Amino acid sequence: MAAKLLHIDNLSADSKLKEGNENSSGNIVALTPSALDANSAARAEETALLVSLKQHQDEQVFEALYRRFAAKLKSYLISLGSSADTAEAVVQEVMVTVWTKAHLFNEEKASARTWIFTLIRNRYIDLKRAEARQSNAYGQYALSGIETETSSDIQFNHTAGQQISVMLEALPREQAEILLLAYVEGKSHREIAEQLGVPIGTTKSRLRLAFQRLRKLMETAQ
Amino acid sequence: MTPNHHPSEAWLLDFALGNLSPAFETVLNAHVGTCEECQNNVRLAESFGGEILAGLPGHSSTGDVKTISAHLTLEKEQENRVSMATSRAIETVAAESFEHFVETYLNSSIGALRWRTLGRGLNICRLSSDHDVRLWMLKAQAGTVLPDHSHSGSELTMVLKGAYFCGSEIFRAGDIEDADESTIHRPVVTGQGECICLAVTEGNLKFQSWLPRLVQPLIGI
Repeated sequence: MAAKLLHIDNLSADSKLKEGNENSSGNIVALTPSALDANSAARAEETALLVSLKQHQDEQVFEALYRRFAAKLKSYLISLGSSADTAEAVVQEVMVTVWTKAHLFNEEKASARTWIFTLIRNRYIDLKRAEARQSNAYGQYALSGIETETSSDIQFNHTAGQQISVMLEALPREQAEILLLAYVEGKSHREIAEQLGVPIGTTKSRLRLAFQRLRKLMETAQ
Repeated sequence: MTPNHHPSEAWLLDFALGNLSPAFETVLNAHVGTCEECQNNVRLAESFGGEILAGLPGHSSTGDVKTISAHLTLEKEQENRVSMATSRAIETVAAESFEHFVETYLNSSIGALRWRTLGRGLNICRLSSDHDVRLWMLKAQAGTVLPDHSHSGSELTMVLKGAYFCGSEIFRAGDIEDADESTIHRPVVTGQGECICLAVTEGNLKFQSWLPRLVQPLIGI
């Protein structure tokens, strides 16, 4: 399985310093308000689009959502080790679901990006299970066995102002690193501990702190 | 039932992202189904997944939106394959009793479980074994003291019925004890009745005394 995605160096080199920017009550103060605002605005726009699709089934609205998400969904699957062809087919399926099942979206429970993330995540889990059942034969959607050409091209480009980097940069580097390996490479916390050469307990405590910060971050960002 | 002991966030993140082997998945599913606190953490992990997704650079060669129309026509004739149970933070009532747990999560029935007696009021039931990951249940009579042991990997124990002490902590139905190679413990079943636990372990348990070590190969834990 391709596992060469992470460009941790692209995280702010001095993100550790940001620990010092946290005040005594643990509030995160390192984020730039404008970057956070831009991210919140983008999130709200996506959710409004999905609500509109849910209500009117408008083709242009769907196209706008497609333009925002399809290429990112493909990057996500490829980063998890999927071949480009498989990723393309699965993205199409998921986007069809976005269109046909938009009426099931509840904007009070999740943002559009979270809902779409859970759709692709569920499909990814299905694929992994199918792969486990057919481990001796490559199924239509085999996730491994093919070294993908593209994963090394995917990297977080925080210089382009992508908000995800802003959120990750609010975390100490060692926490952001673990989150990226889990989300983007699909590694379990034990695999991450082994890869980083740190005790399992250290990985757990870093993730505990990361969750505390993420909670504050997500509350601030909504 | 409101659990007081939870799997660490590391496990909940793995669960939220589908990065677990089936045996660990079973234990997490059973706990998260009854634990509001862990459901919230799973939702948090999913929300952050949305942020990660939104921040990813788009792949340069993604199909045109027009190609979707062909799928849409097909879609009207077929059930979509994408699961619609979106969040993994699903509340269930299935783990509220041991009987329900066995039916729902093990797809079995109490009568079908094969218990093996280890003596001194202790029984085990092996459920699955995949490489070095084992899923099993342990049933111990009130007051049973289990031998001191540590682990060669991760171990999650969920109490399904009754309760046990570990040091000064008490683990009751729904609780998870999250142990790993840094943990040495000696569970003691409370005096109030039998205790049944579901356990998933990586690698072999490491017993501190010679007798359990001697019988370990025979009982397969």
